Amino acid sequence: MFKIRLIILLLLMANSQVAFCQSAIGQLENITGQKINRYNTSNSSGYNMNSMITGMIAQSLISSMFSSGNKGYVPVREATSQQTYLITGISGEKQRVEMALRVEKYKRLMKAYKFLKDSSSLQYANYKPKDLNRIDSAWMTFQKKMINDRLNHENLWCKQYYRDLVKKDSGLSTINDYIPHKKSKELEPGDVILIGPTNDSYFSAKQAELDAWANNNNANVTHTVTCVKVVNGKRMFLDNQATEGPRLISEDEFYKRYGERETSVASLRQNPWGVAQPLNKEEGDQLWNKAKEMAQKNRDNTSPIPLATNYGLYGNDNMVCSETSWQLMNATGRYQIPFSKSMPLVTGIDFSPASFYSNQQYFLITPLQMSR
Amino acid sequence: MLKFIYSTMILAAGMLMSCCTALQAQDSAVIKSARYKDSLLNIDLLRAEREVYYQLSLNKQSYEINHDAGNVAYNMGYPINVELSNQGVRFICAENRVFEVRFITLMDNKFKLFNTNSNIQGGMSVTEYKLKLGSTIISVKNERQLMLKSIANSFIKVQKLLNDLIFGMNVFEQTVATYKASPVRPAMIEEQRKYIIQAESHAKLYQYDKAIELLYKAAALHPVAYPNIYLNLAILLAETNRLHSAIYNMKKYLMLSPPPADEQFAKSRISEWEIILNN
Repeated sequence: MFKIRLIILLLLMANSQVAFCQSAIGQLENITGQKINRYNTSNSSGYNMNSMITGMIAQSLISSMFSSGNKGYVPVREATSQQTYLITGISGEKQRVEMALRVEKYKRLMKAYKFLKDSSSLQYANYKPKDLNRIDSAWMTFQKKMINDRLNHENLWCKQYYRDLVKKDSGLSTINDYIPHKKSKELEPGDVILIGPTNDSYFSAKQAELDAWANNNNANVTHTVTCVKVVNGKRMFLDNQATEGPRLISEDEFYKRYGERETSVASLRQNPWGVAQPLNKEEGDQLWNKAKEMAQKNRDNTSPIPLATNYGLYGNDNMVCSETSWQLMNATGRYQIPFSKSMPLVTGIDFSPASFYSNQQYFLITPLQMSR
Repeated sequence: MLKFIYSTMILAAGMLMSCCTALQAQDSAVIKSARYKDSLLNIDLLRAEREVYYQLSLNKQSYEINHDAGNVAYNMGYPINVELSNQGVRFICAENRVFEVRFITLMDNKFKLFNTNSNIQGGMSVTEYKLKLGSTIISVKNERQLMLKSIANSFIKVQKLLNDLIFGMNVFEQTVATYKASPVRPAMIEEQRKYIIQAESHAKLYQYDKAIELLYKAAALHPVAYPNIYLNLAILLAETNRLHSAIYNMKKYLMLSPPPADEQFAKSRISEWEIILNN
């Protein structure tokens, strides 16, 4: 009797040992009760649907087990468009070389050129030629793709913001009070970082003014950089400087380039850094209507809104044309491009950070809280 | 008495006239000699143009005409007829298609033969040599390469004579001689100064063509008042890939005896551009 018990016990142990020695997929096979084909399926005549589904489930379970925990309510996704990423890189490199050559040739020419002694009114060194300021088409394609990819997912940030608006509707006085600050660690691929002018450059400030005037908003933005990828928690950005062309830069280089602009800012309210998050139409409409409703309430009840910032909602709606003088509408940054065609005639700038977005696009613009 | 006074007046007038003409003669002699040289150049140019025409006309069954339309070149076949006009050479091809090569447009043309290889049936390949004359290309088969080279040389001769005439090198040489002999240096007039400053601004803004146009205008007002015009013109022309014109302007600058450092710079630029043109 004892011997029979021992044999049964040994058999049970052997079975359990088989389970312990199994791979993760094997264990999942046991869980799902389906056989997963682990071999090359190219020789088989057709696809096994069950295997595919089970494989997908298994893969998602494994990836969820081994991936880093997505804490916080903004999930960080990696850019999926590797091919565009490469094309943009190559194109940017070519453009950068061409521009560097042109600039060098120009400098040489200016060195050899004999100027009249008393005619140096125009400083050529500060001048950005029009064609050097042109935006590379590959860069534009990449930006659009990034934004489109982003729109395929629900923007949790927007959802949360809307909830806050609804919840705090009665309490706070201005839209600005509700606008959350996005932290630099929460940046996602597709987020466009809006950078203000440098304090020490007259040219930069004038450019921002012209830009804002030409685009009929009070956005104080001279440059945009797009977050394109998150690798091991470090962000990569796509920068497009006039003399360099599109270039992928690391987070460290990003801080190195634009860090001084951040430090020169006195307070968060005046912080020129902003982040534009792409929203799909439904999200944009929902948020916009709510913001408008609140603004209407404010206009009826209170005196003119004291603080007008360039942060808020961007988008396009003809209805706003008649309301542009309304300070709050400007404060929410409702976006129109009435002068985009005449801009080159006025400013000589073909394409500015403020006119980056297409007319149909909605963006949630929030202040960016930078922390190294 | 009246007769005497009348005769004296005539004599005085005659003497005055002869004095004036003697003074003018010095200047006009200089200009006359320049004009004479130019007229000789004109005769040489006509001869060179005829030479080009004869070569093209005699060998019209040996070369084909291609029309360069940007990215694509269309083969128009052998020319049926070749004509010499006042301005250039005309190729009349099949279906009465006319392609004209104006000599004046070849001022900055680089007459360099280039070849193309094309594969034919049976694994063979055919090499064609081509000469680009503006938007018209003359192409020959491999064995006719020397003939095309000879045509190119004739065109180069025409180009040189034409450039000598267009840039008025003989007249300029004489003007410089007068300028050097004169103790007073000519001052820049206000309009000239205006053009020069405008040209500078355009050059700074990458608008080289506009700057070149303005500098030519300034130079036309007074050729020797501001020698740096020619240096600036040469630099801008070279930048816009008009090396022949650049060389001529640099030569003009050298004629005006610039400071040694600038002279060295100008000479080295000329050698540089000549190397580019010959290779």
